[in-house]
Amino acid sequence: MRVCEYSEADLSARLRGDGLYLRFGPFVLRVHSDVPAITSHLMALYARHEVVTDEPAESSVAVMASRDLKRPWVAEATLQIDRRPVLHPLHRRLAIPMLEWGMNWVVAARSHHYLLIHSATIEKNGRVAVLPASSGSGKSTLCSLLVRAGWRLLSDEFAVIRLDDGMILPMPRAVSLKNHSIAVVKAAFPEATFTVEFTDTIKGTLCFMAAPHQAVERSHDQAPPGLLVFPRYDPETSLVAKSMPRAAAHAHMVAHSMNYGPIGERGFSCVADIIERTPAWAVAYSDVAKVVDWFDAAIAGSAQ
Amino acid sequence: MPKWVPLGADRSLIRVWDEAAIAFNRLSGQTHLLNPVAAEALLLILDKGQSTDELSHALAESIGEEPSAELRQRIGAFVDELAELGLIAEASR
Repeated sequence: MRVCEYSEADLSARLRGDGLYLRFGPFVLRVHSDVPAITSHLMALYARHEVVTDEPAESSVAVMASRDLKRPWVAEATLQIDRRPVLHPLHRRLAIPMLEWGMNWVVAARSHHYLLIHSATIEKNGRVAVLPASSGSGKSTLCSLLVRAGWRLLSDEFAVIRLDDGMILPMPRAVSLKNHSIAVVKAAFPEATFTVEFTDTIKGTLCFMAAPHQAVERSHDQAPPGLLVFPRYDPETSLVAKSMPRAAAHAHMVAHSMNYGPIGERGFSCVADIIERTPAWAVAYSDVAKVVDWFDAAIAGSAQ
Repeated sequence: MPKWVPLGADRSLIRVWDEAAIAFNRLSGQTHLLNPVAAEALLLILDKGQSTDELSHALAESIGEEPSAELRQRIGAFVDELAELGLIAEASR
């Protein structure tokens, strides 16, 4: 069953009780919350996601209402991973970002059976473009605009790479948008579902967009890497794409990995195998139309 | 003269590409970027133990230089660096 097939009352009861087991590609997370905004968030942005009833969860993520005894008039919430608080309490208006951060944390910290790269991953013609980039670099914006242009979203946060064969697994979740990118993506996706904007966070203003239905429906469709792109938004540059030497590409992939260290030799070999068969590019851009055309040509094998 | 032998380096964990090589040190878990000459030195040591003099002669031939004292000094310096990284070590007597 999917989230949208449950009533709000039933979802709320599950979240307050035994937990709601949600599938995100290869991961099953058990979600708990007594904050009504979380129920609404899941109904709005995760409507098409599968509710799992016959598999155990990787971990549990909980966003629970709390109050500081010294300031009982302030409504707060705590984030718990496997029932342990992992952040100091925040204002309850940030419950939704806390849930999203918690899900990211669990995947990054508990999934050493995959190689994880902090990157956007999108697919076209059966091959995946991996866009490793730091937070605030514009990768989610670029990823969203490429999805608008017909690419399939696998994830805007992680490349989930199977160690044995380098295949990339989808993990479609709500797309995280920050600051000026919010308006850009809202304009590109007028039909999409967005949360309200969360201001005054450590990352500035945040907003989340529901993953496209196609991305969720095809969350079992894995694909091999076909392109490595290290993107950088540069207002002074229309589009410059430079082929990246393989050793440098390996170093950059490792730098953006969430778990290269814990994985050890298998991670080294996995990254090296990908580098050997996948062209790597450093792309600086500000012209969206040009960079979209470049990606289309690159995945078709004709980029320059 | 002491010979250099592999320590944390393993042939299966070295990839040599045109412009550079990368080596994974299975003892430290670190990944190292090597220039082509350093990579060749490491691979020679992985084949069999080599003294610095033997390495100098082999690498000189490879890069088309005379095995001069200056070359030996340069090779000695980066062999010491490979040892500091834990990729190789002096063989026990």
